[in-house]
Amino acid sequence: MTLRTLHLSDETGRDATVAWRPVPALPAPAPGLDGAPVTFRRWLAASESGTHAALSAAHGGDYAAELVDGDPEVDLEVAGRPVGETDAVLLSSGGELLYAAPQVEEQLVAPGGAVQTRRAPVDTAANVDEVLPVRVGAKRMKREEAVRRFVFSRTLQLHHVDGLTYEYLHGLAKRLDAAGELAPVGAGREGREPLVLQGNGTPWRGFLEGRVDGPRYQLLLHLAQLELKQPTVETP
Amino acid sequence: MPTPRKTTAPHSPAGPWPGRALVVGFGGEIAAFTLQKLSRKDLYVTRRRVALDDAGQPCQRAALTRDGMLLRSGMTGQGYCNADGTWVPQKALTGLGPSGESLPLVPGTLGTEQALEPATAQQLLDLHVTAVYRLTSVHAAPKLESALEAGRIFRYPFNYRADFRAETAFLVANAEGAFAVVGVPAAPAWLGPDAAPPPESPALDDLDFDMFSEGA
Repeated sequence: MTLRTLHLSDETGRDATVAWRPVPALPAPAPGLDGAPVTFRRWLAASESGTHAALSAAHGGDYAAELVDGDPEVDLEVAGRPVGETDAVLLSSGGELLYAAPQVEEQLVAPGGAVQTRRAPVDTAANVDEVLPVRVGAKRMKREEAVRRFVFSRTLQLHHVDGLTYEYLHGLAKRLDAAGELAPVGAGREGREPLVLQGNGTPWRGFLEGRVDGPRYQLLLHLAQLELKQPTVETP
Repeated sequence: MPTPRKTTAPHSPAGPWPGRALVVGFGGEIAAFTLQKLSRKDLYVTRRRVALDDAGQPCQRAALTRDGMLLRSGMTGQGYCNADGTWVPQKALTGLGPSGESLPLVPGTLGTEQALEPATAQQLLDLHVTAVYRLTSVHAAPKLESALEAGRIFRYPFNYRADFRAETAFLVANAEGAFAVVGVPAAPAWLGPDAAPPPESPALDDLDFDMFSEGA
């Protein structure tokens, strides 16, 4: 367990390491029956001889009549057996279990689904809690403009960790709130690179929003990876 | 409204609307749109990692139980069971509220007129987004077009299909067209000087192939 932190530099160049947490959404209603909760279960439905591939090999491509006449897909020894924890494994294209690490190829896929580039994997390091802080940019954007340009699909709430960082974050929230603006937040020396929260994770464009209510504040880092735009190529 | 591919079809204000149309009422007029989901892979080059076998062919995924049984695709079933362990059909399930009360089924909203309510940018920023749709107008409403062109934002209940809670959709427009941003409202906490630090979380170092399919 660890406290998730972010090394932030404000528009004046002052920096501090602060904590963050995702803003939680209201949970979806739990499933139930007659007012009582139900539990999710996984179980074995078929043995290997009952899979589509095995049935196709044994009975030909169209085996509907065999299913009706002889129930070849039902294996009473295993059907209904509960499935607990499992480990993910990889099979070769021929269906054999792999005991050695596979080769991994990275594919860049263009809109429309065509593979544009195949290459050796390029790892991306996390960059929000490094020696070089992420920077609050000077180019601001009104809230009303931002929500009509970007889809903010995640929001992190920044937390102070002591009295000094309380003053720091409250002051930043107050300045942003007074202007009604969002400030871009970027990584790298110029503060223009996208934010990567974890190794090989999604690159996000960050926008900081502040709200103040007396001594209380909300400093929200809205994350976008999608613009409100029309595709140039229709995806099938 | 600056929807570039707008096609005003000869529908009467009372419908019928094509397929699963989004129908909204504003200023005594009715507007109808068709929806198409918008995702990152529609706009940008995305990156994915593929495991290859010795022959250079993509590997298949499977699962291994703790007692060594290999589970191939199609070998498992899943579902919900009651306290006795009896399987409960999906259609018999209900939603439970925070106090354990059964929730009524909220009907799907598509094809049914929804009243628009003015909304603020801050309310949209507080939305936990679950889906984004680009909208194509099939029945124009001039008052709504003008309001959206002026930068106004509206919200309305949204349920793609009947469910035990309605989501909230925000209707916005820009030079590219009109969009519905759908999700569930979230409420960030107010932090005072004495606020406790956020709870600790599991370290973010568990990599698997799923996470490699996002981003470029």
